[in-house]
Amino acid sequence: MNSLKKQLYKYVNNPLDPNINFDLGLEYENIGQTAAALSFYLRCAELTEDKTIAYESILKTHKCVAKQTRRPVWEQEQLITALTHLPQRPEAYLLLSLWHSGREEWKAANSYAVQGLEIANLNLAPLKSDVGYPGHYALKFQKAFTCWWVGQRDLSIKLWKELFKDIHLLPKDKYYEVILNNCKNFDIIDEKQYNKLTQE
Amino acid sequence: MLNNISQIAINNGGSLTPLIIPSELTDGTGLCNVSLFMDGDELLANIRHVHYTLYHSEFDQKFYCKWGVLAYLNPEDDLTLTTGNYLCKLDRKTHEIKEFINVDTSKNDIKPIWSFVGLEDARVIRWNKTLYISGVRRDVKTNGEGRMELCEIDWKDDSCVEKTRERIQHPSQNYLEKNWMPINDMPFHYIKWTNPLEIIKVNTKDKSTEKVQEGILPTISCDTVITKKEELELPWDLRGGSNVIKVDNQYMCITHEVDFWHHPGHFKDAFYYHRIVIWDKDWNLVRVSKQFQYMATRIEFTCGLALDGDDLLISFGYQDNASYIMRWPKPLLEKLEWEDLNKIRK
Repeated sequence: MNSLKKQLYKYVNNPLDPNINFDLGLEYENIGQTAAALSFYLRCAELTEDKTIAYESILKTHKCVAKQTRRPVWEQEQLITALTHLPQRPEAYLLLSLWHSGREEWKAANSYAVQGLEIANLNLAPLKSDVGYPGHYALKFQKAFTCWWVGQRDLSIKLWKELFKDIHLLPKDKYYEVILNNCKNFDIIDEKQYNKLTQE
Repeated sequence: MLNNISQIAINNGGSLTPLIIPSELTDGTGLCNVSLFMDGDELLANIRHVHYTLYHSEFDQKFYCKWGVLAYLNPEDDLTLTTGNYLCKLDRKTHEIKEFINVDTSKNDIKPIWSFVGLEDARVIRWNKTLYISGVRRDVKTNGEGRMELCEIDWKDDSCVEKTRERIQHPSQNYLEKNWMPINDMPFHYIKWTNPLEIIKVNTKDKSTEKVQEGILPTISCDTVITKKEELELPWDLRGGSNVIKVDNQYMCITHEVDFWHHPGHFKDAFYYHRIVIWDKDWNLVRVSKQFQYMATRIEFTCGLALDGDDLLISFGYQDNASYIMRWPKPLLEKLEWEDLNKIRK
C-alpha cells in the first residue's frame, strides 16, 4: 500500500483528527494534487483548536492554489485570512510582501516586509511544514528590495550590507544569489569576492 | 445517519482507492464524479476533471474565503467552470488506473456561451456494442439550459474521440435535465426520475437538429416508457447518480439529495446525501437505504456503480477535488440503514 493510501485509511478511521487531515493534505500536495490537498488542509484548519496549526493550514491552502496559478485575488485574501488569524507570526507578512512586489506594488510590499520584521515575533518556533517561508532573512531581503523602490535607497543599501554580513549563515537559495548580485551592483563587494562566493 | 461508509468498507473486507490523473495534465485542479462500467473483462472509468478547486469550509466554518464558505476557485482570468473527461481502464484487483486518455471532443465542439462548459458528470456505458459517455451539457444557450447528451466514443490505443454527440430531447422537459441514470442492461434507457419512477427510452432513429447561436446541434428524441405511481415521503428529491446495474436479478442504483441554502450575506452552502435504491425486475420498489455519506464530508457525489464478482464498486467525488473507488462486498449492504417503506409511502 502506498503512503497516500495508508494515510487515506488513517483518515477514514479518524476523519475528525486535524493532524491526520493535515498529513493527508501533505500526501496529496507532495504529488501535485493540490485541489485534493486543499480539502484536507482546510478541514484541519477548521477542526484544530491550535491556532498555529490552523494558521499553517490556511497558508497551505494558499500554497496549493498559488501552485495552480491564475487565482491572485483569492490568494491575496487567503493570506490576509492567515495574517488576521495569527498576526504574531511572520510567514503571512512575507507572503503578502511577495504577492505585492510581484505586481510592483512597492508601497504595500514594503509595508508588509517592515510589519513582519517589526510586529511579528521572530522567536517563535518554525512551522512544521513548507509554506514558502525560508527564514527571517527573507523578510529582511524583501525590506531591502522594496526600500529601493519606495525612495529609501540609503536604507536599502544598509540592509543589503547587513544581509551580506550574515551571508555565511544563509542557505544557497535564490535569495543568496540575489543578495550577492545586489551587493556587487552596489559595490558592497568587489568582483573577486563575488566570484569566490558564487563559485563556492 | 451513517456519514462515513468507507470506514465500514475498509474494515470489513472492502477497500478504498484514490484515482489520480497526473497533475502535470490538470494543474492539480479537481478530479471527481467518476463513472464505472464493467466492459467484459475490463473495468472502465470516466473521471471528470474540473478546472477549478472547490473551497468548502466545514464544521464551525471559521475560515470563509473571499467568496464565502463554498466557492469554486476557477482561474480568475477565465470565469467559466470547465469540465474535461478522462476515460480510464482500472486494474480490477488494485483499482489503480492502468490507462487513461483525455476524451477529444473537438470534432463536435461549438463555441461555448454559458459559464458551465463541457460534458458534466458523464456516465460511461456500452450499449449494443457501442461505447458511449452520457452526461449534461449547458454551454450551448445563453440561459444555461441543460440537456442530457449521448456521445459515441471511438477509443483506440492512442486516441479517444467523441465521434457523435446527440442532445436528448424529451416531450416534457425542464430548464435543466441532468443526472439521468443509464440502465446498463436496457440499451438506450435511463431513469429520469426515481421518486416516483420514470424511465425514458431514447428513440435512436428519431434524429433531428436544433439551430443555436453558435452552431447546429444534432438531437435525438426520447419518450417515457415506464412509470410507477408509488411515491415515498422523503425530505428532498432523489436525484440521479450512478448507472443502474443488475444485482441478483434486481435493479440497483445510487441517488443523491442536496440540502442547499444560503448563509447570511448570500453565501451559499450545501450538504449532499446518498441512498441505494433497489427495484425488482418489473421495477417495483424493493428497498431504499437511509441517507449516507462516504467519507464524512458534506459535499460528495456518486456517478459510479458496478458489480465485479461479489463486490459492488462505488466511485465518488470528494468536494469535487478528489476521486475514489470503493470496493463494497455485497454482504455489507446489510450494514447500511434501510427505510421502512411502509412508513414512508405517500
